[in-house]
Amino acid sequence: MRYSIFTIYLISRYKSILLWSISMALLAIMFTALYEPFAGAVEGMAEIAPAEMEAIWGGNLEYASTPAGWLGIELYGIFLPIVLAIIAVNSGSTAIGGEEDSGTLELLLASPISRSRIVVEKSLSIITQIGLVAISVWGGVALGSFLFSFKVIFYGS
Amino acid sequence: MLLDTPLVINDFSKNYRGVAAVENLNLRVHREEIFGFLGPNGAGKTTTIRAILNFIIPSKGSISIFGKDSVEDSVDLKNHIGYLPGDISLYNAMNGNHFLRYMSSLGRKADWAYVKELSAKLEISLNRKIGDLSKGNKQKIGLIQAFMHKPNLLILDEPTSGLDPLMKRVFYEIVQEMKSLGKTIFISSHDLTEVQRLCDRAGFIRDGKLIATENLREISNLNLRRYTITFESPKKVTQFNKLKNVSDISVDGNELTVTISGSVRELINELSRYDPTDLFEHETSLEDLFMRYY
Repeated sequence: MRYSIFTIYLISRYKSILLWSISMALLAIMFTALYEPFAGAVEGMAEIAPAEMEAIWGGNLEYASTPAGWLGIELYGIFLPIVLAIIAVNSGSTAIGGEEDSGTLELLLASPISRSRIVVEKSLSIITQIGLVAISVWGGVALGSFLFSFKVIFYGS
Repeated sequence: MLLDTPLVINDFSKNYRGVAAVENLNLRVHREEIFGFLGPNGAGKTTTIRAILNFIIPSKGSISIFGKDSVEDSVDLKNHIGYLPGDISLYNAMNGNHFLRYMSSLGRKADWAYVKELSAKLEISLNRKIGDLSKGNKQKIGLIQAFMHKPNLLILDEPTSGLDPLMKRVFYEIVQEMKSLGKTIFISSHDLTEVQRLCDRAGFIRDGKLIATENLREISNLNLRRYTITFESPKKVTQFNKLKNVSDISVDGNELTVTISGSVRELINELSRYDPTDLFEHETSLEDLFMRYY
């Protein structure tokens, strides 16, 4: 395997990314499983919800009670952005700061590479890490729809 | 690339929030020279080294390496520089081999046969996880990464810290070998004995100022050593204070401590009359030297 700042950073974060991926995939499966028992409740909830709450699902009740709408609001609308932001902040703060802190940044700076390349490779690595968690969520939904009566389209429209 | 001018420091100053860490430093290191950069802790040694490697930008002045500017041509110059950080920290999760491959893939192309030779000389296994290694063994890995591409200029910050005496000797040999290949070596240290033993020339820095540069091959007055001698029975200072080449004499019960410069003949002759049981050589402290000469 070829070593680069990109791959080394990815490898050094694999435990964290693996844990997040598994938990988020399980969460996705859980959401697909909960759709049937909860789908009815959405309608009831919509009637008593204040206008601000309604804004989350755009006031479109028909959409909110479909499988796609259920995921769009609950999983993709609330949980996924928060988790991805946590991972991004975490990974971003250790990307350069962690190496500076531990003293290993000097070894990178003593190499014939520009500082901007260090930043770019680290950034690409963070994006990949987030992407891997996002893909796991997709996998969780796919598995869930296979296990439970939950119909969503996985590609195209 | 002008190999004959490996390192020229022109009027370099570095201020941190108005406080000068290094002031108007001028220094020229020649090809095939082992240059010792001596100074007490906090004198500005590491600041200078960090500027040579362009980790920090000079507040004033410039540094030229092989005729190129250390800031402008920083990236290209690093192909020709080997750097050992002081207080080195490595990637603890990797083993030595992975670490060196990583460093090599970042551009300083390792000579793998040489890496193998170095690891054999330094008696270090590259298959063990770096995090499990002792401080001295981590230092050896650090040394290998500095030497692995046989750079024309080596910048070593406290290279022997953590190494045992035997390994220090191996390190001295490796440095001499590099010198004989036409490389230039710049070593920072606070150990005078080591610099005297290894270096051709030395610069003394204190409070951010270069006080002097000395040719160590020519002068002997720097040859200060401090000994503690233990006797069978208690002694008095007056018994020793007329000896030649001896200063800073102190006696504590049956222990005598002296600083000697030059020949030890008279001291040894005199001591043998008093039943010495032990002789211990102290590491010569820079402070002693500074107090005496600067």
